[in-house]
Amino acid sequence: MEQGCTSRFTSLIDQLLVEDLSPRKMGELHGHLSSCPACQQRYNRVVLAARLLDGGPEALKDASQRELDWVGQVVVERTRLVPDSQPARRGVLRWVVGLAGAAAAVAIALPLVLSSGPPTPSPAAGEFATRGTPAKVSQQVGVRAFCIQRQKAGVEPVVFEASSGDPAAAPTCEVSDILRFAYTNKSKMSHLFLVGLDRKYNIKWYEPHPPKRNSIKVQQRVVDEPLSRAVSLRVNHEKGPVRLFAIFSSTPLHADQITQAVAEARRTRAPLERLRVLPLDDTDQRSILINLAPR
Amino acid sequence: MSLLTSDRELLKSFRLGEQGALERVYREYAPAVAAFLVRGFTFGSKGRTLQFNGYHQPFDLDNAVQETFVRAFGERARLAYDGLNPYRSYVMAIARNLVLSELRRREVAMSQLVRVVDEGQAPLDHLSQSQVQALSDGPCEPTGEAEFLRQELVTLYHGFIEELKPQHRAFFIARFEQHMTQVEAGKQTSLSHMQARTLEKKLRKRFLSFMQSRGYLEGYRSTYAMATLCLMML
Repeated sequence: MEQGCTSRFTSLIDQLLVEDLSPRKMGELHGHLSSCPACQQRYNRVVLAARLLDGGPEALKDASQRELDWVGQVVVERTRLVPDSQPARRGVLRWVVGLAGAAAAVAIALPLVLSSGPPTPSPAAGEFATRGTPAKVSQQVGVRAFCIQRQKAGVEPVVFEASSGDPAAAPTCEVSDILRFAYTNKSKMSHLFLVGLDRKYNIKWYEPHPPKRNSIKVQQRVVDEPLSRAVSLRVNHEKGPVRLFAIFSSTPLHADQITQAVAEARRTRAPLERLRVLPLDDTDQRSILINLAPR
Repeated sequence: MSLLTSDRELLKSFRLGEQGALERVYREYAPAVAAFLVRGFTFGSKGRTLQFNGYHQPFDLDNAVQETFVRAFGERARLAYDGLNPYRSYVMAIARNLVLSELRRREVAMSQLVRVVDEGQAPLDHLSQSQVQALSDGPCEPTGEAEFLRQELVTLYHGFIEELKPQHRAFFIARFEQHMTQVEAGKQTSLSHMQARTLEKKLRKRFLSFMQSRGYLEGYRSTYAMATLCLMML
């Protein structure tokens, strides 16, 4: 069991007995702990030892102030990154219009709509069909991405159709915009990973957002269910094409699997325009290419 | 009066989600929330009273405290707080709801944390019938392994103190057991503040090395402990 806890995280956990970690390291550690039972076990032991050290044998049963401070760092960081951590329960258009009203915004929807015809075969997908059920573009799932421009007052939301892959025809957002999402799930898949990939294959983590590392749970039999995540494109994004991948799975995927799949895709040198799915077995995926224009 | 009902400026900053206000509110209420989540609570389901025994593993507890405050600090929850009733009750209700939703979502993993207290209460319908059936099968008390681990830890702790030089031992006891400040503990053992600070860090590192050298952090002693416990029970 102990093999799962790498020396890096072992070292971080042990360090807690000596001194506090930076908020960034603490966030990283908590993100890892949720998916690593071996590290959880070590963390439990270190925390008990820390409680003993800071409060004596009588303090073993209760959380120490130091321990609560560690948790507090993560809470504040997560709250800062997710202004509203509860998913909105309103309809997508109400949600978009609400934003427009509040911030004089224009929202551009970039829909990955459910198609009534057969899915478009992916030129890149065949290159990855090596084990399990290969990743596929699914008719049963979908994601809409909304570019929200804060600066343009009095303009009604505009909806664009998804592009076929030609970057010249791809919908355009400005790098000053905010991106929000809504998903449709008519499949039996219960988890979603949402990432972006730029021309250099740099991964943009949308859902889950670090320090969380596992797919988020999603509802089934829903259409246009809003996600709470709001992505400021000013952060970690540059002008140029970005492909958004919505990866649905029946069990949670880990961020390491996404990283590995992107590395595999990169090795094939598949251009973003053709990369419809990432090589992840047993997943249903939809993706869309957007262009980020300078402000 | 509670913090947020007595300080309207703080309440305003809190509602705006300002980091300083969130930190202050967290520090005020986190100990009570953690104690609540350790102690557990009773709840009703389908005519029975069930007891949530509380989180006894530090990771589970820390995770629940974290999730409670992430929910409580979300925009909607911040704005939904009326600023009139005690925030303590508000955040405790969030913690309670979090536990109940976890019980619904992870009934097997959580089954050890719940027991039936009373079969004859009026139904409150917090959980479905199938979940109640599964939950009632779990053991009621923390495991013998957990208790044995605590005993092992305390034994190691005393062993560590015994190995210290007299001056270091005196500082250790003053600082960690009598909860003196670094300055006070240093004064009592004829050390300057700087020396006291350096010694504290050194003692923490030494404590870590001691625990590592005894295998406490590696987990194999847990297996050893269980084997010993089983032998003791034979």
